[in-house]
Amino acid sequence: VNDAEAQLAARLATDLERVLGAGIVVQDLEIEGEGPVTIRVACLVDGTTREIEVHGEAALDAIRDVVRLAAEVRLAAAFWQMVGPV
Amino acid sequence: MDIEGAGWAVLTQLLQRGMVRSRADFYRLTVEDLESLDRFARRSAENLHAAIQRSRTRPLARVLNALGIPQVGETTAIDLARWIARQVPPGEGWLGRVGESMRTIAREEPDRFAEVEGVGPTVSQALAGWFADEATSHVLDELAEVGVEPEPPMIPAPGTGGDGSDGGPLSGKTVVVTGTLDGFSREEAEEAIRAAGGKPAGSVSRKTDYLVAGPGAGSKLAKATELGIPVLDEDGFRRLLAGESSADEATGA
Repeated sequence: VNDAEAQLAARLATDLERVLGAGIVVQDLEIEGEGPVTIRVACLVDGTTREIEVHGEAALDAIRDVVRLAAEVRLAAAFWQMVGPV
Repeated sequence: MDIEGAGWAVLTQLLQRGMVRSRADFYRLTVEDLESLDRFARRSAENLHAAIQRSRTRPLARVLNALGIPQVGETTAIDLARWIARQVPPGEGWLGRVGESMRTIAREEPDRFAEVEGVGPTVSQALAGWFADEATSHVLDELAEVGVEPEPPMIPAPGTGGDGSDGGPLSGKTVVVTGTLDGFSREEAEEAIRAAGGKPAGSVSRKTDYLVAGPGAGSKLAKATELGIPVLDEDGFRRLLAGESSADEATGA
Protein backbone atom coordinates (compact mmCIF):
# COMPACT_ATOMS: atom_id res chain seq x y z
CA VAL A 1 0.00 0.00 0.00
CA ASN A 2 1.52 3.31 -1.03
CA ASP A 3 0.99 6.63 0.76
CA ALA A 4 -1.73 7.80 -1.61
CA GLU A 5 -3.72 4.58 -1.12
CA ALA A 6 -3.27 4.77 2.62
CA GLN A 7 -4.52 8.37 2.68
CA LEU A 8 -7.47 7.48 0.50
CA ALA A 9 -8.36 4.56 2.76
CA ALA A 10 -8.13 6.78 5.83
CA ARG A 11 -10.41 9.41 4.29
CA LEU A 12 -12.90 6.80 3.21
CA ALA A 13 -12.88 5.25 6.68
CA THR A 14 -13.71 8.66 8.17
CA ASP A 15 -16.54 9.19 5.68
CA LEU A 16 -17.91 5.73 6.36
CA GLU A 17 -17.83 6.28 10.10
CA ARG A 18 -19.95 9.39 9.61
CA VAL A 19 -22.41 7.70 7.26
CA LEU A 20 -22.75 4.47 9.22
CA GLY A 21 -23.08 6.24 12.55
CA ALA A 22 -23.19 4.70 16.00
CA GLY A 23 -23.53 0.96 16.39
CA ILE A 24 -21.94 -0.04 13.08
CA VAL A 25 -18.24 -0.76 13.08
CA VAL A 26 -15.96 -0.86 10.04
CA GLN A 27 -13.98 -4.05 10.55
CA ASP A 28 -11.95 -4.04 7.37
CA LEU A 29 -11.41 -1.78 4.39
CA GLU A 30 -9.42 -2.71 1.28
CA ILE A 31 -8.71 -0.62 -1.80
CA GLU A 32 -7.17 -2.47 -4.75
CA GLY A 33 -5.94 -1.13 -8.05
CA GLU A 34 -4.85 2.21 -9.46
CA GLY A 35 -6.93 2.46 -12.62
CA PRO A 36 -10.02 0.37 -12.21
CA VAL A 37 -10.48 0.15 -8.48
CA THR A 38 -12.09 -2.39 -6.22
CA ILE A 39 -13.13 -1.40 -2.71
CA ARG A 40 -14.21 -3.94 -0.11
CA VAL A 41 -15.63 -2.93 3.24
CA ALA A 42 -16.65 -5.27 6.03
CA CYS A 43 -18.85 -3.77 8.70
CA LEU A 44 -20.29 -5.25 11.84
CA VAL A 45 -24.03 -4.69 12.25
CA ASP A 46 -25.79 -6.20 15.26
CA GLY A 47 -23.16 -8.89 15.58
CA THR A 48 -23.23 -9.85 11.90
CA THR A 49 -20.63 -8.88 9.33
CA ARG A 50 -22.05 -7.23 6.21
CA GLU A 51 -19.80 -6.79 3.21
CA ILE A 52 -19.79 -4.09 0.59
CA GLU A 53 -17.82 -4.62 -2.62
CA VAL A 54 -17.65 -2.04 -5.36
CA HIS A 55 -15.74 -1.83 -8.65
CA GLY A 56 -15.15 1.50 -10.35
CA GLU A 57 -13.24 2.87 -13.29
CA ALA A 58 -11.73 5.46 -10.97
CA ALA A 59 -11.33 5.67 -7.22
CA LEU A 60 -13.81 8.52 -6.85
CA ASP A 61 -16.55 6.55 -8.64
CA ALA A 62 -15.97 3.57 -6.39
CA ILE A 63 -15.92 5.72 -3.27
CA ARG A 64 -19.22 7.34 -4.20
CA ASP A 65 -20.82 3.93 -4.61
CA VAL A 66 -19.36 2.65 -1.35
CA VAL A 67 -20.75 5.63 0.53
CA ARG A 68 -24.16 5.12 -1.08
CA LEU A 69 -24.18 1.44 -0.10
CA ALA A 70 -23.02 2.33 3.41
CA ALA A 71 -26.03 4.64 3.71
CA GLU A 72 -28.21 1.66 2.77
CA VAL A 73 -26.57 -0.42 5.49
CA ARG A 74 -27.35 2.38 7.93
CA LEU A 75 -30.96 2.44 6.80
CA ALA A 76 -31.27 -1.32 7.10
CA ALA A 77 -29.84 -1.18 10.62
CA ALA A 78 -32.36 1.54 11.47
CA PHE A 79 -35.13 -0.75 10.30
CA TRP A 80 -34.03 -3.46 12.75
CA GLN A 81 -33.73 -0.93 15.54
CA MET A 82 -37.16 0.58 14.95
CA VAL A 83 -39.21 -2.42 13.88
CA GLY A 84 -37.35 -5.34 15.40
CA PRO A 85 -38.65 -7.26 18.41
CA VAL A 86 -38.51 -5.60 21.82
CA MET B 1 -31.78 -11.80 13.56
CA ASP B 2 -35.29 -12.37 12.30
CA ILE B 3 -38.21 -10.02 12.75
CA GLU B 4 -41.42 -11.88 12.32
CA GLY B 5 -40.62 -13.14 8.85
CA ALA B 6 -38.30 -10.39 7.68
CA GLY B 7 -34.62 -10.78 7.10
CA TRP B 8 -31.71 -8.89 5.69
CA ALA B 9 -32.62 -10.21 2.24
CA VAL B 10 -36.01 -8.51 2.47
CA LEU B 11 -34.41 -5.21 3.34
CA THR B 12 -31.93 -5.59 0.52
CA GLN B 13 -34.80 -6.03 -1.92
CA LEU B 14 -36.64 -3.02 -0.54
CA LEU B 15 -33.53 -0.90 -0.92
CA GLN B 16 -32.59 -2.21 -4.37
CA ARG B 17 -36.10 -1.67 -5.71
CA GLY B 18 -36.10 1.87 -4.36
CA MET B 19 -39.12 1.15 -2.16
CA VAL B 20 -37.28 2.43 0.90
CA ARG B 21 -35.06 5.49 0.73
CA SER B 22 -35.59 6.92 4.19
CA ARG B 23 -36.76 5.80 7.61
CA ALA B 24 -40.17 7.30 6.95
CA ASP B 25 -40.56 5.03 3.91
CA PHE B 26 -40.80 2.00 6.22
CA TYR B 27 -44.18 3.34 7.29
CA ARG B 28 -45.39 3.94 3.74
CA LEU B 29 -45.01 0.29 2.74
CA THR B 30 -48.26 -1.51 2.08
CA VAL B 31 -49.00 -5.20 2.40
CA GLU B 32 -49.07 -5.31 -1.41
CA ASP B 33 -45.61 -3.72 -1.61
CA LEU B 34 -44.23 -6.34 0.73
CA GLU B 35 -46.04 -9.17 -1.02
CA SER B 36 -44.37 -8.16 -4.29
CA LEU B 37 -40.96 -9.11 -2.87
CA ASP B 38 -39.36 -12.37 -3.97
CA ARG B 39 -40.35 -15.38 -1.88
CA PHE B 40 -42.70 -13.30 0.25
CA ALA B 41 -46.18 -14.74 0.65
CA ARG B 42 -49.28 -12.80 1.67
CA ARG B 43 -49.13 -14.06 5.25
CA SER B 44 -45.48 -12.99 5.69
CA ALA B 45 -46.26 -9.63 4.13
CA GLU B 46 -49.16 -9.11 6.53
CA ASN B 47 -47.03 -10.10 9.52
CA LEU B 48 -44.22 -7.74 8.58
CA HIS B 49 -46.66 -4.93 7.84
CA ALA B 50 -48.27 -5.45 11.25
CA ALA B 51 -44.85 -5.38 12.93
CA ILE B 52 -44.07 -2.10 11.18
CA GLN B 53 -47.38 -0.59 12.30
CA ARG B 54 -46.78 -1.66 15.90
CA SER B 55 -43.38 0.01 15.86
CA ARG B 56 -45.01 3.43 15.43
CA THR B 57 -45.45 3.67 19.18
CA ARG B 58 -42.13 2.28 20.39
CA PRO B 59 -40.24 4.33 23.00
CA LEU B 60 -38.63 7.56 21.85
CA ALA B 61 -35.22 6.24 22.91
CA ARG B 62 -35.54 3.51 20.34
CA VAL B 63 -36.28 6.02 17.60
CA LEU B 64 -33.34 8.19 18.67
CA ASN B 65 -31.05 5.17 18.77
CA ALA B 66 -32.10 4.24 15.24
CA LEU B 67 -31.03 7.65 13.93
CA GLY B 68 -27.42 6.44 14.02
CA ILE B 69 -26.10 9.71 15.39
CA PRO B 70 -22.34 9.28 15.78
CA GLN B 71 -21.34 8.65 19.41
CA VAL B 72 -24.96 8.10 20.44
CA GLY B 73 -25.61 4.54 21.50
CA GLU B 74 -28.51 2.93 23.30
CA THR B 75 -27.75 4.34 26.75
CA THR B 76 -27.24 7.88 25.50
CA ALA B 77 -30.44 7.59 23.48
CA ILE B 78 -32.33 6.69 26.66
CA ASP B 79 -30.81 9.61 28.55
CA LEU B 80 -31.45 11.96 25.63
CA ALA B 81 -35.10 10.85 25.46
CA ARG B 82 -35.56 11.56 29.15
CA TRP B 83 -33.89 14.93 28.86
CA ILE B 84 -35.89 16.08 25.86
CA ALA B 85 -39.12 14.83 27.45
CA ARG B 86 -38.46 17.30 30.26
CA GLN B 87 -37.94 20.12 27.75
CA VAL B 88 -40.84 19.21 25.48
CA PRO B 89 -43.95 17.91 27.26
CA PRO B 90 -45.40 14.79 25.60
CA GLY B 91 -48.76 15.16 23.92
CA GLU B 92 -50.19 15.69 20.48
CA GLY B 93 -47.58 16.13 17.79
CA TRP B 94 -44.83 15.35 20.26
CA LEU B 95 -42.27 13.87 17.86
CA GLY B 96 -42.50 16.87 15.57
CA ARG B 97 -42.07 19.20 18.52
CA VAL B 98 -39.11 17.16 19.75
CA GLY B 99 -37.48 17.45 16.33
CA GLU B 100 -38.07 21.19 16.21
CA SER B 101 -36.69 21.64 19.72
CA MET B 102 -33.59 19.59 18.96
CA ARG B 103 -32.91 21.73 15.89
CA THR B 104 -33.38 24.96 17.80
CA ILE B 105 -31.05 23.82 20.56
CA ALA B 106 -28.47 22.64 18.02
CA ARG B 107 -28.60 25.99 16.25
CA GLU B 108 -28.88 28.40 19.15
CA GLU B 109 -27.57 26.70 22.28
CA PRO B 110 -25.55 23.65 21.17
CA ASP B 111 -23.76 23.36 24.50
CA ARG B 112 -27.05 22.51 26.17
CA PHE B 113 -26.76 18.92 24.92
CA ALA B 114 -24.09 18.54 27.58
CA GLU B 115 -26.94 18.78 30.14
CA VAL B 116 -27.97 15.24 29.12
CA GLU B 117 -26.83 12.75 31.73
CA GLY B 118 -23.53 11.14 30.77
CA VAL B 119 -22.98 13.40 27.78
CA GLY B 120 -19.62 15.16 27.53
CA PRO B 121 -18.29 17.65 25.00
CA THR B 122 -17.66 15.10 22.24
CA VAL B 123 -21.14 13.60 22.28
CA SER B 124 -22.71 17.02 22.79
CA GLN B 125 -20.92 18.22 19.69
CA ALA B 126 -22.05 15.15 17.73
CA LEU B 127 -25.67 15.75 18.74
CA ALA B 128 -25.50 19.43 17.87
CA GLY B 129 -23.86 18.65 14.54
CA TRP B 130 -26.46 16.05 13.62
CA PHE B 131 -29.46 18.18 14.50
CA ALA B 132 -27.99 21.25 12.82
CA ASP B 133 -27.20 19.42 9.59
CA GLU B 134 -29.82 20.02 6.90
CA ALA B 135 -29.20 16.53 5.53
CA THR B 136 -30.22 14.81 8.77
CA SER B 137 -32.04 17.20 11.05
CA HIS B 138 -35.52 16.65 9.58
CA VAL B 139 -35.71 12.88 10.05
CA LEU B 140 -37.86 13.17 13.16
CA ASP B 141 -40.30 15.47 11.33
CA GLU B 142 -40.52 12.96 8.48
CA LEU B 143 -41.31 10.18 10.93
CA ALA B 144 -43.92 12.37 12.61
CA GLU B 145 -45.51 13.05 9.23
CA VAL B 146 -46.02 9.34 8.58
CA GLY B 147 -47.67 8.88 11.96
CA VAL B 148 -44.86 7.69 14.21
CA GLU B 149 -45.92 8.61 17.76
CA PRO B 150 -43.28 7.31 20.14
CA GLU B 151 -44.01 6.51 23.72
CA PRO B 152 -42.49 9.04 26.12
CA PRO B 153 -39.96 7.75 28.63
CA MET B 154 -40.87 7.29 32.25
CA ILE B 155 -39.48 10.32 34.01
CA PRO B 156 -38.74 9.61 37.66
CA ALA B 157 -39.76 12.21 40.17
CA PRO B 158 -36.95 14.08 41.92
CA GLY B 159 -35.65 12.14 44.89
CA THR B 160 -36.80 8.75 43.68
CA GLY B 161 -33.38 7.75 42.52
CA GLY B 162 -33.97 7.45 38.80
CA ASP B 163 -33.15 11.09 38.32
CA GLY B 164 -29.66 10.42 39.61
CA SER B 165 -30.40 11.18 43.25
CA ASP B 166 -30.53 8.65 46.06
CA GLY B 167 -33.67 7.12 47.43
CA GLY B 168 -35.26 5.01 44.65
CA PRO B 169 -36.08 1.44 45.59
CA LEU B 170 -33.30 0.21 43.33
CA SER B 171 -30.92 3.08 43.93
CA GLY B 172 -27.37 1.89 43.37
CA LYS B 173 -28.47 -1.66 42.54
CA THR B 174 -27.55 -3.62 39.45
CA VAL B 175 -30.31 -5.81 38.07
CA VAL B 176 -30.21 -8.40 35.30
CA VAL B 177 -33.36 -9.59 33.56
CA THR B 178 -33.54 -12.97 31.85
CA GLY B 179 -36.25 -15.18 30.38
CA THR B 180 -39.71 -13.97 29.42
CA LEU B 181 -41.84 -11.72 31.59
CA ASP B 182 -45.59 -11.49 30.93
CA GLY B 183 -45.98 -7.86 31.83
CA PHE B 184 -42.73 -6.38 30.58
CA SER B 185 -40.80 -6.46 27.37
CA ARG B 186 -37.06 -6.52 28.00
CA GLU B 187 -36.86 -2.86 27.15
CA GLU B 188 -39.72 -1.98 29.50
CA ALA B 189 -38.16 -3.95 32.34
CA GLU B 190 -34.87 -2.14 31.87
CA GLU B 191 -36.62 1.21 31.75
CA ALA B 192 -38.49 0.35 34.96
CA ILE B 193 -35.18 -0.51 36.63
CA ARG B 194 -33.70 2.80 35.57
CA ALA B 195 -36.79 4.68 36.70
CA ALA B 196 -36.44 3.06 40.12
CA GLY B 197 -32.85 4.26 40.35
CA GLY B 198 -31.19 0.98 39.39
CA LYS B 199 -28.85 -0.02 36.64
CA PRO B 200 -29.88 -2.77 34.21
CA ALA B 201 -27.07 -5.07 33.11
CA GLY B 202 -26.79 -7.73 30.47
CA SER B 203 -24.78 -10.34 32.30
CA VAL B 204 -24.59 -11.80 35.79
CA SER B 205 -21.49 -11.16 37.86
CA ARG B 206 -20.57 -10.73 41.52
CA LYS B 207 -21.63 -7.10 41.11
CA THR B 208 -25.20 -8.11 40.28
CA ASP B 209 -27.65 -7.36 43.08
CA TYR B 210 -30.71 -9.12 41.67
CA LEU B 211 -31.60 -11.42 38.83
CA VAL B 212 -35.17 -11.18 37.55
CA ALA B 213 -35.92 -14.54 35.94
CA GLY B 214 -38.95 -15.45 33.85
CA PRO B 215 -39.73 -18.68 32.02
CA GLY B 216 -36.96 -19.72 29.68
CA ALA B 217 -34.16 -18.44 31.91
CA GLY B 218 -31.01 -20.44 31.31
CA SER B 219 -27.35 -19.89 32.02
CA LYS B 220 -27.85 -16.54 33.77
CA LEU B 221 -30.14 -18.18 36.29
CA ALA B 222 -27.62 -20.95 36.87
CA LYS B 223 -24.82 -18.44 37.38
CA ALA B 224 -26.87 -16.27 39.74
CA THR B 225 -27.74 -19.32 41.81
CA GLU B 226 -24.10 -20.34 41.89
CA LEU B 227 -23.07 -16.87 43.07
CA GLY B 228 -25.87 -16.67 45.64
CA ILE B 229 -27.51 -13.66 43.96
CA PRO B 230 -31.17 -13.10 44.90
CA VAL B 231 -33.46 -14.32 42.12
CA LEU B 232 -36.85 -12.69 41.67
CA ASP B 233 -39.86 -13.83 39.71
CA GLU B 234 -42.06 -11.23 38.02
CA ASP B 235 -44.21 -10.63 41.11
CA GLY B 236 -41.11 -10.16 43.22
CA PHE B 237 -39.75 -7.74 40.64
CA ARG B 238 -42.95 -5.68 40.75
CA ARG B 239 -42.85 -5.56 44.54
CA LEU B 240 -39.25 -4.49 44.45
CA LEU B 241 -39.98 -1.73 41.92
CA ALA B 242 -42.78 -0.54 44.13
CA GLY B 243 -40.47 -0.50 47.13
CA GLU B 244 -42.81 -2.89 48.89
CA SER B 245 -40.29 -5.44 50.02
CA SER B 246 -36.65 -5.97 50.76
CA ALA B 247 -34.51 -8.14 48.52
CA ASP B 248 -34.82 -11.14 50.79
CA GLU B 249 -38.57 -10.87 51.04
CA ALA B 250 -38.87 -10.42 47.31
CA THR B 251 -36.85 -13.48 46.44
CA GLY B 252 -39.42 -15.51 44.66
CA ALA B 253 -37.77 -17.93 42.28
